[in-house]
Amino acid sequence: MAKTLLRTNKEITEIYERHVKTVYRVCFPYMKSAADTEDAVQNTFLNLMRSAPAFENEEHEKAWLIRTAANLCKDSLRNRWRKHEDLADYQHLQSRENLDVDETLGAVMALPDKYKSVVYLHYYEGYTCVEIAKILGKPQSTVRVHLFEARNILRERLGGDFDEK
Amino acid sequence: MKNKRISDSWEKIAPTEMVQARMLENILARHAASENQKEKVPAMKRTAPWKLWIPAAACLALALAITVPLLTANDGGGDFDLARSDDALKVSYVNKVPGGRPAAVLTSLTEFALFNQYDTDIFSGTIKEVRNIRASYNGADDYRAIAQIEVGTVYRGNLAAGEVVSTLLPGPVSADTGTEDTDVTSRFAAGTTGIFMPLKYDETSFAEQNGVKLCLLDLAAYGFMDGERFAFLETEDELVFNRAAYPALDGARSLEDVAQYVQAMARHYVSIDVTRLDFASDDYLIFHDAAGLFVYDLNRRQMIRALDLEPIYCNNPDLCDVSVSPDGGTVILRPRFDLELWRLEEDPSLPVGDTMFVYTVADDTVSRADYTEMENPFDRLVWTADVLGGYDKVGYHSFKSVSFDDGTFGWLLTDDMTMGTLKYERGDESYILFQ
Repeated sequence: MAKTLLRTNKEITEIYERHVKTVYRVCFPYMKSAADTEDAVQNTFLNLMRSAPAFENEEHEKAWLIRTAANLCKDSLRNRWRKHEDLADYQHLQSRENLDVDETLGAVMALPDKYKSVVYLHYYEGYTCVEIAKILGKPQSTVRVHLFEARNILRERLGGDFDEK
Repeated sequence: MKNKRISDSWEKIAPTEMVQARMLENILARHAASENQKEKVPAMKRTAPWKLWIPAAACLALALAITVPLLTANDGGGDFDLARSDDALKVSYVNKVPGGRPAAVLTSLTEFALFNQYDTDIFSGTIKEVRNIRASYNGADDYRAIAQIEVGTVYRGNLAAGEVVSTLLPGPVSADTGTEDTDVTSRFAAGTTGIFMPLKYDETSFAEQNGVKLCLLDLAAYGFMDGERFAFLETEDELVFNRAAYPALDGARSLEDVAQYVQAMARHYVSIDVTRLDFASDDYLIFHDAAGLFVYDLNRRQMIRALDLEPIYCNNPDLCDVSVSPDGGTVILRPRFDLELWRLEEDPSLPVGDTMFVYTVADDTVSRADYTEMENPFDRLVWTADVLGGYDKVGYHSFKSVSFDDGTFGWLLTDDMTMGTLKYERGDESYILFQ
């Protein structure tokens, strides 16, 4: 059964606590700084409160937040005309903001933005291409292509065995 | 599926409890503040109805005066003549496109398939004009763009230099729309040069929405299959193309680099799929393509082995790694399921794990095993382009040739892109392989 559209602060807080880490992890590779990531996370939940969508279940709720977060980040970046940075640029984040960005995550953050959500959903959350396509509202074939291309880039940067079992 | 290395790295990225609390506080406070702002708008004083009518009329007149010219300015041109399309369709040029995030569709295509899956023409050229359009399918609007491109060098297709061709782009060209997966075509602009690979439309090329059909030929003579992989642009600052789709162009920095590569790839539009030479000696050779793996006896001038690759998931040369022992007696075929993730997810019959199939030429048998890399595989394969002195010298040759100690090279060659004329050449010798 769909939730009511108008949510109380208590309901919003519950949704927030369920998914804030997920939303944070989706936003961070785009925004690349803790401060900007926090802004993006807050804007995502504000969007939730303003648009007040009805969710069928918690998975639907999570999918909506992931998609919204990714879109907000991309819009924000487009407005700021950010450019891709060298992996080495991420090293400073560790000391300044207490975030442990290692070589692997650095390689993910250096990917073109269009790959990041797909990589997160597949390699971190473990979703299949079919599920990712539903979450992001993209064609399945597009998801497969993005994963394939991201994988090639990651193999080059991290070594061919990064995804071996 | 989850990847431990990536998961472990990402797991470390998380807001602290303090940051979480701070963000939540900000969210609730900002939401409350915006709600309060709405309540502060003062209510209008009630006025006698007839007094309202006069200002409303004045407003309406003013609105019409402003709106009509704006509408005219926004719809900057006439409709198209849609002779082959449904009557319910309307297509107009527009100056502005709405914001949003329509996504183009990308199809899984290997580097080879990008040149050969579709009947695309390939040419260099200069973009003369780009205009956005709106196609209204009985109430559902789709925004795209049409680019006029003046043809320069033709690599494939029946075009003439100097000809101007119309091409339909998969999305509009605008900084505001954020149409995803159109990273290249969204950069189309008048004056930009590039290499283009559009599909030639015909009477059967349709788009459909809301039950309404648009014959694409009514809009343009050509169209791009997607916004990412069928064009290479040279802008003032950089070479723009999808590098992930073209690993062979990893080091390309100019359109000239791309041109050499495209020239070679354009010629390999072969109906037999690209045939890969795997091994050659003085006595026999091994090659494979989608049709199978073949062993040809050069002394007897006849095919002695033909292995069907489909049952062992290796009938796509781009998705199967082949290694041959130095004596040509053993062939390892490794299907690359990892490069086709969807197959692993959707087909439970596929073998689990990294599998290889070991083919023994002498007794024509295949066995399956867990993948292990072949030690000291046959390593005399070289790029045919290097042997012949450049990509522009490569005709319908195999990409790789075999280098022999006597200074000769052996390669595969086809005259007319069919298996019937496939031959092996080494020095003055020539062997027609399928007779």
